[in-house]
Amino acid sequence: MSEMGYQVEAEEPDLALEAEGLAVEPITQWDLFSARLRRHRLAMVAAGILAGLVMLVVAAPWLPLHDPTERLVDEAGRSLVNIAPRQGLWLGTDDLGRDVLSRVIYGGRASLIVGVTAGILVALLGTLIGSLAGYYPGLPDQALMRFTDLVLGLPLLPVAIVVGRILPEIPFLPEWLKQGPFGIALLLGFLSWGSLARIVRAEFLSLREKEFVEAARAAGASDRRIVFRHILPNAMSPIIVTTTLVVGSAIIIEAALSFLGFGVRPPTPTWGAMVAQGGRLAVRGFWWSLVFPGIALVVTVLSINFLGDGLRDALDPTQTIERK
Amino acid sequence: MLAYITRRVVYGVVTLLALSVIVFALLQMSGGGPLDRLKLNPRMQPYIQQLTKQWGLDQPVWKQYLTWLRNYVSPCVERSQGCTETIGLHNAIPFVVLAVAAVATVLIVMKVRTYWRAGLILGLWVVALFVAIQNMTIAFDWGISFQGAGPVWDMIFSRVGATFRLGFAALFLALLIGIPLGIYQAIRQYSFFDQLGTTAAFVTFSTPIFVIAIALQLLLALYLEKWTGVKLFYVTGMNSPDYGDMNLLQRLADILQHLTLPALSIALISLAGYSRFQRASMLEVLHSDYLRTAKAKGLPRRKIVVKHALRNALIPIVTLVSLDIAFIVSGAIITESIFGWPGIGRLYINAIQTVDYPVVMSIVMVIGIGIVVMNIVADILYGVMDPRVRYE
Repeated sequence: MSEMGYQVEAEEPDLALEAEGLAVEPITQWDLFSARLRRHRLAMVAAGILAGLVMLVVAAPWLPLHDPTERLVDEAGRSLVNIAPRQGLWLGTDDLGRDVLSRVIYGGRASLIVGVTAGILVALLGTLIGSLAGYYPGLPDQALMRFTDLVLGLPLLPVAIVVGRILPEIPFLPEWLKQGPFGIALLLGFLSWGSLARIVRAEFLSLREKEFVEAARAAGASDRRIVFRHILPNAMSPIIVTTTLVVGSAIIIEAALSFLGFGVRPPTPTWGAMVAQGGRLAVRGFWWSLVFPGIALVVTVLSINFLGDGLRDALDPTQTIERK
Repeated sequence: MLAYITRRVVYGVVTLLALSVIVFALLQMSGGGPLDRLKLNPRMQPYIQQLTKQWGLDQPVWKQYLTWLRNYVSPCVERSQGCTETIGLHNAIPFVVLAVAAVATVLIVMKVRTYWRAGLILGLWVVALFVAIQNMTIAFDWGISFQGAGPVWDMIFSRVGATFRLGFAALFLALLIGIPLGIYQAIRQYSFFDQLGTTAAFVTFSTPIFVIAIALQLLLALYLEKWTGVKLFYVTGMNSPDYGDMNLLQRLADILQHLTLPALSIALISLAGYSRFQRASMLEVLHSDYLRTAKAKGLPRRKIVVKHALRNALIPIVTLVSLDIAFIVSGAIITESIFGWPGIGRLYINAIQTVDYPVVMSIVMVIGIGIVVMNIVADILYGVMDPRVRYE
């Protein structure tokens, strides 16, 4: 309640108090949230790593990198195959003479596109279906939840493998959907919104009965206004946290699909396919082809999960700043 | 409770039907459909006509699906391409075993009133399922492989044992390490060891299983042998080629040398989840009122932890284990193809590469059935163990 009090004062500042320097600085929910998040040191480090990764991946075409599919040769025209990390080739080259550094950076594109696209799709679908089911009890709720149960009951990896294998052969799909990361992203998004829908529904069911919603309804607010102004903002925290975790798992599953050869198609570099190739090379002693994409994959997913953990703590309004 | 179980079974069947429709429809889009794929394979030429007739491959898709469904659920009555076994009296053994297990379960639920009855039931069913599968001579007409590898039923059931061995070993390892780890972390909350365990769980949880598998292969097999000269583990297959000539002890060692790494790579990820879950569950119990009472009575700490806290803290993990089956199956698909393990997972990857329709369909359905059954078992077990849960 104290936060409400602050906000009221903020809207009508007492000029006399302000002149005496006694006015209270308003503290918004956002201030509280960011203060709590900043306290979570690991989450901040993770956010920094992710921001750096995004910038690196977006700026890749303008960076002084070799083309990720180019087979490098030296001045004498000999191909530079399985070169250990050295100056100029900081992470070495693979068995086709391609620059591992450039492939790791471009491989991040596929992973991030899959993670972010699948995450957005899951957030939209899960929120839409969960809120419809939670707000309209009875038949809509029953129908939507049975459908959600059904999607949750599908074995994710076996089905994803089938789709990944078949995707390039489906005749009516556009080319960018068949080969690239977007097809895989849509696939994973459509398969993993179930748990979010359940969580959102549960939030809606409890929020719908709260006094402030009843007050809004009594004041004559429309369904749309109640949902968007009153219920949804209060359900944001589980939506954000769950979506963050979905991004991480989508990246892992895309990597697994690419590792098995059913994900993003070569020559587009992906971390999963690089680990598969690197595993064979590492047996012969060329560890760099395995270690760097592996580290990139683990660090990225780990950062996302740490960020999700930090967001969960920061968004939980029962957790006060003093307590931790 | 009976109404609840019935409803769950109905939902499960609907889920399985939807799964079969989805995968069937997807497979139809590949390479012009099953008939075109069949024609590509020269080894299958002699069978094309017969298969077309038996499976209606020249019919519209929905008719093909209905034919597939009918064949999939029909037991083999007479010998045919997809059936090498036929119905006889000996087929009854697995059903008798399962019926005995069901009756025993009901008796245990009604008569036994100890905390351990859930474990009793779980153990009972593990043994019953094992015996039932060992004696499973009844077969269903799941067709023959489009790659000419024989009847699908036989292909799958000759590999089930390998996958079960891997899955159970992984589960065993995960429980053996994960539960004590979680309990210890909870008892020493916020200690250095607790923090370390939490961080380690986070890292393993964020690591894809294939990275773990390859890292284990390289570190514990390849480099270990290179640096120390000790060959402790093998990285491919289930047995050595000279397995037949070994004595019992050598065989056991050989099995363990092959099993450890693939089982460990699946177990590491599950174990991270188990230890987190066990820690949370133990902490909740440790902070409960009745434990404070026990402490106030002056009971020794050891007795409080072992006798009062542990029993209740172990309850929730059973459901987690039942639900984990889906993860273990997914893990097995990837791990088996990395370690050349002759199980269902590797068969699945091989079949999907060549889009071997009957094999892919059958394995997806086997996995789906396993997950649906374990979900129902998890729900029932939860109610059996925690009398506060009521089925509606």
